[in-house]
Amino acid sequence: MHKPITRRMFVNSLCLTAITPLALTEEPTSKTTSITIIRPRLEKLDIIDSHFVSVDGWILPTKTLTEGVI
Amino acid sequence: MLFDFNMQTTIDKNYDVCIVGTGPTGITLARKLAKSGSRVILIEAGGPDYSEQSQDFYECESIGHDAWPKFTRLRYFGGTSNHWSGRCRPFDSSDFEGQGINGLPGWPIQYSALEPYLKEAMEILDLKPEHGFQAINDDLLNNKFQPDAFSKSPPTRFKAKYLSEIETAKNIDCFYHATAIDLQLDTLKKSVLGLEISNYRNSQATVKAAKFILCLGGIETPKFLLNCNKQIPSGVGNTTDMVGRCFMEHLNVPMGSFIYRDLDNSAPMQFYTDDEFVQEKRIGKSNISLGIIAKVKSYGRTKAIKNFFKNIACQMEIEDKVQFISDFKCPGMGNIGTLLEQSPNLDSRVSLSQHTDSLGLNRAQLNWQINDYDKKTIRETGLAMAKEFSFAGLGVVRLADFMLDENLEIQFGHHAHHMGTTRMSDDPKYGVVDTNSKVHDCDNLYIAGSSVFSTGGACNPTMPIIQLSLRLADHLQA
Repeated sequence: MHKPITRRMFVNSLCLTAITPLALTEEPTSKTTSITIIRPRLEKLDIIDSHFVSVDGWILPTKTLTEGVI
Repeated sequence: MLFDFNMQTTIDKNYDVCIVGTGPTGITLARKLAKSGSRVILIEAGGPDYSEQSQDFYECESIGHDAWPKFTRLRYFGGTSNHWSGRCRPFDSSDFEGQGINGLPGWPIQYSALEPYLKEAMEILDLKPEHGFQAINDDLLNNKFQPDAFSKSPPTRFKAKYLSEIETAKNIDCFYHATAIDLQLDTLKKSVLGLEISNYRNSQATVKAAKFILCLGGIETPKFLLNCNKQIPSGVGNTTDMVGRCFMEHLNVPMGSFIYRDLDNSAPMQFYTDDEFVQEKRIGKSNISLGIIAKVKSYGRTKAIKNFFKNIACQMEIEDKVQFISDFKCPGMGNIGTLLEQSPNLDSRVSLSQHTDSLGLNRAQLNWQINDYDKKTIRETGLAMAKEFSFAGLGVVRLADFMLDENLEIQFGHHAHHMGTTRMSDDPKYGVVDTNSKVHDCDNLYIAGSSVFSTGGACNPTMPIIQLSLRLADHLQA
């Protein structure tokens, strides 16, 4: 006999079906490291001073852009 | 003794001191003065409990930035202590050493005037003096910021803690449902002869005392004084047009977010701007809090599903698309909270609205404004925090757009700290009360509470409020 569907099971199933299409339609992105601080698109780049720049509001040491994330 | 002024409308005693308001300030003064033998009458406009009828009197017309004046204050026994958060920190000595801001002088007293009352204030607020004030993090930022040391009151609810003591005190008569509506002055208009009070049915009485102390808070105190305009058209204490001016809040600015370099780090941190940085930049002080919000709030299988989506979403950087399922932040991500000092500003003020309440008094009109000095405080502090956070190797900060672009309006809110509207100053041209919290124009009228603050610092005001109240009590007993 089928197990009766509870309200929680129904909601959880709805969430699964709701999110899955969205996830599938996203353009594949490369697996990023957890410390990803530079987005693929640089919306806004501003020089703060000789030590720092602002990239989309992220305040980064200038050397990060030239030497990469350490 | 407690009396309901809706029922008992005869007051035929003369008192030594009449205290208006039963928040932390009023209750502290009443207890201290009664213990020294003074006959005290304590007046509370609200009742023993919250009521919409009472709270409606705090309806306030707001024409500047919104400080939520009706919701941030509570009009019943215990006042706003009935919902405060409990964070306690005293002023620093440097708060009293300022040269003046915006053409206004700083405090006319030194921190040494408040320091003797610190231990007693801590006991009143259920803090352990032997523990002092502690920081929750190490000195991780080498420059411009230091760990902020503070202490947490349970929080002390002054009604719960002191109502029964007030009720049984032999020389305190507390009348509630009694709204202060006017001051009777002598013919020279230099002394208060009596305080007129009214209940909701407009039954009135006059309270006679040798001294009167207003403990009504940063909005209600100037509103009351400005409404006392039958004998002095500009209001009592207002010959220099300073009553209501210099309304200060602590600025609550959503500066941005951050990511810890160590993603397993979830420890909150609190920092305070150091004096050298503040003086060098000529800005106000700031408390900055860094907190991780990474917990999924749920339980059982629903929590398991939410955690599953959270982990996938953070790895795929689509967390904003799944927030509707579960409110979370990705590991290592946090928000920056702020409590920033606002400078005294003549244009930020409480005045009277054209609207009146059911007792015929003009309601308050609040015009909360910040100026260029405050904007500089916000932007310089945020940028300095972002840089030092990076220099220290803790991670990176993302600042909101308005922090870096001066063409954008700064977004900010409030902390429900209403200060400065009857500020302390040696010179009546720049304030309403003198160094003993006495109204300049009046021999026997005093004001206590955060409305007397000359500057607001960047600390929660309850601790200095209690210290100043204890100091005033000592002065009145002398």
